[in-house]
Amino acid sequence: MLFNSVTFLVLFLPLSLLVYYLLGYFQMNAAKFWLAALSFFFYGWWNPKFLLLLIGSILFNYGCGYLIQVFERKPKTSAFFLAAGILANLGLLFYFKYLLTLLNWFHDIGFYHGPSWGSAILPLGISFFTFTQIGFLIDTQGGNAHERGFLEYVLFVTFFPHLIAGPILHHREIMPQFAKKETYFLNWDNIGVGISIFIIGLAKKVLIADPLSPLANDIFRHTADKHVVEAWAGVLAYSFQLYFDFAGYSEMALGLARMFNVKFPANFDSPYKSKSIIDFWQRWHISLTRYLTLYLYNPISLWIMRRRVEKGLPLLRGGETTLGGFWMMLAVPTLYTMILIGIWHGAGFQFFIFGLLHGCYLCVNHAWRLFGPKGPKGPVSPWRFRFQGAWKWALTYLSVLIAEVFFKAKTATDAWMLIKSMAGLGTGDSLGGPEGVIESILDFLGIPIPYWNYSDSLITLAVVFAIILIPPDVPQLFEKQEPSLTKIRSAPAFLSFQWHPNILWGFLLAVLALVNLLLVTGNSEFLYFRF
Amino acid sequence: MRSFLITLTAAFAAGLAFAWVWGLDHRLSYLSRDYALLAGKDHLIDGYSRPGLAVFGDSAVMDGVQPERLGPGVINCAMMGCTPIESYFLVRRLMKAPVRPRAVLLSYNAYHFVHPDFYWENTVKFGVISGAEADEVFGNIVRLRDKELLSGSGLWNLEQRLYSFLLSRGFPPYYLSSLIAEPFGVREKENEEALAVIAQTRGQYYFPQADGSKTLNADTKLKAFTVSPVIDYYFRQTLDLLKKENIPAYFYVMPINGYSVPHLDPGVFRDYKAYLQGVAQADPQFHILSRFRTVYPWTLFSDYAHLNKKGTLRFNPEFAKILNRASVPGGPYGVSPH
Repeated sequence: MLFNSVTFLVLFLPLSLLVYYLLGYFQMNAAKFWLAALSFFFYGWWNPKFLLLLIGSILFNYGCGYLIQVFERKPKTSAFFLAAGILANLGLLFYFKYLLTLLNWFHDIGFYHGPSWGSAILPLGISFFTFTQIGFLIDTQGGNAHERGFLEYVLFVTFFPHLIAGPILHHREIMPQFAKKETYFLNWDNIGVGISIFIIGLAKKVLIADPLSPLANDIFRHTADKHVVEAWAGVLAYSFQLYFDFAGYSEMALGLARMFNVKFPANFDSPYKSKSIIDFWQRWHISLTRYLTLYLYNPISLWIMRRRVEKGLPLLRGGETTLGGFWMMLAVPTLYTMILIGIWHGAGFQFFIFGLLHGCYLCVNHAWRLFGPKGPKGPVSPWRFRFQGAWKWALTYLSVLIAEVFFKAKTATDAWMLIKSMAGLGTGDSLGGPEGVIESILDFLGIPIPYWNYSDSLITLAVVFAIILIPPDVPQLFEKQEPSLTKIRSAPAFLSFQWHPNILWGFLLAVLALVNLLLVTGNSEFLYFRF
Repeated sequence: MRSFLITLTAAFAAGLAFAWVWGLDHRLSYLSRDYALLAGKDHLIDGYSRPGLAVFGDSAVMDGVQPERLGPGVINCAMMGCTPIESYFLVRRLMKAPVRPRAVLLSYNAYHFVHPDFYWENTVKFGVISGAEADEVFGNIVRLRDKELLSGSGLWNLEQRLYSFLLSRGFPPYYLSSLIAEPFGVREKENEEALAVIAQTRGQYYFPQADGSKTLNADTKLKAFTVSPVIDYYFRQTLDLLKKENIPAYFYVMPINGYSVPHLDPGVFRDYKAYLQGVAQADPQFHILSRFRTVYPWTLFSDYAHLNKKGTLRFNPEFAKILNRASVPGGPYGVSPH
């Protein structure tokens, strides 16, 4: 079921809330059961067959966690159950996400002759619920998972606002919330904040992301030989669509959870305002970055450090600033983590390049931070400060944009063709090459060119860009209400105002909710559903 | 927080109620021409006062059958994409009119026995059938497990059930796309004209005119003639209703574009014919008129299915003769009322 479907908005959500609080008033466990049943219903709505997969996965992982805890005094046995649990989870993910792609690739390169393998239906949210549970197993083995209630565990994995596309939760921050009595009592403050965040998230999806989709899809359908303006318009449209689609989904999840008195971690903090790639990854898909840092980056980094200590090599700052130290302690774990982030998104080579690019960006960013020129020690003039901020922002966004071409394109070759067109090397309907770029600039200055038909799209893109950069985003807008578990530093916004539970905000959000509902089609999936 | 939540709820509810009521009340000003053509048929049925032949069928019939050339008691209640589902409810409504028709003529190409393409987009959305009737049809769709009309998504067909319910009650989100396509009132004049044409011609309406067309008929898309269970159900229900009212029913297959004939699957044609003959054998009050397929040259068509003016000029006198030869009640046909 989609958050932006009529069924969800008109039937599922009001009914779930009503029954949840009615049951919660009388019996906490009944409300827990209701919430779990709702979440299974929500998941089974799309394809009831995969409910068995979800239930199986929960039972298996809970059982593994139990055995790991039972054998905590026998490290080898508990490590065996941990390894078995992780392997089974990764095997499941591999089967649904990568196996057939790999077999088809072998078929395509002529390794295997015969019919191709077709494609598997990817169970919704498999990457999310698998990762969440792997984290739980690792923490159980490390002695960091103390909450053991089965129903709380089921809710931690299946609670419908995060089940399909995150944010990726940590059991430590969620299971205690489900164990508290207050969670099941009606709290009008949380309903008000939750519904407001939900309406804004839905607006991002329905009013911005969905209308951008045709332009983006059109360009990415055939990427060869696009005119430079066409290529940029399509890539920018996709970049904005991806952000508003995913941020919209995450905020809807945040708002929905809040309506049920549950707080989620934040997933976005105005990432397109970032002035470095390091900064970008602290603001984009925050829960994934946090997860991979915790369970991938830190372990490998720690392992490398231990090796260096054993060999008597320097650590920390002294070690990083040598080239070898930088490579081993920063570049290797970063590249490894980012490539896995890329592959986590899909099996194509383009996702590998997406991860690799971001890994390289981060390495360059770290290298610049460590080896690059240091800024002036004295005060900097405001204009110089702004100029520096502007070019850092532009360079960061351009890098992100190039990587997003690989993220969206059907193949790496398609992505490369589109990047060539962005550089003015595609012909499209224009002269192509440097002349094509000049031609577009002339056109931008108002000199009419017959093929030009992107002015409307560019105005739309400019408006959306302004929405990204100027007004405050949800974390700033609801700062006083602490919308998430994550401490978000207040990203500067050109305009700064706060949400207040007053009549004006009530009216404005009612209008926005009405516009949202009128534009809801119910058939526009979220981009992250395919991961 | 209380004032915020009250304002939010009240303003949202008021806005939605306004959009809903306004949308239902002003359909003619923002829905497409198809709505006006269907509303025109409603007016024809509601004002039915001269007993004769009532014709039901798809758009080929709506375009081709000209009541003015056939006789004063003839009305053309055919609609775009119409299948026996829609016809059943229109016939049922006609039975409630002050006078009854003397005979009913039904006509659908093979495609419209297989694919009810316009059921949601036209029939339900444009209010050809009421909310209660849409619920009744949905019950039968589920009961007969009609794959043509069931999307299969969602548990217990809840999503589609809700869609059918809300669509048939004019739920605003389902209508807003029309409002965006042609905002506020732009379509009103065009729709008023379409209504007037329907009233004047007693239901006949020309689709875009051309001096010939080699576009293939929808029947050529069929690789098998598998009647949709719901369509079959309502086709038989229509015949039962007419039998109960003692009104004879006739079936006629509209002329097909000669250019399409070689592209028709012979198996489809054979099964289509066998299906109708089977129904006729079981129901003595149901008659198949004349030859099963009449072929006209492509120059007499405007597009894949619709006759142009030259085509209707040839078709209607021939059709009148067929009706007279079969002694269809309500005739004689083709005789000037003056």
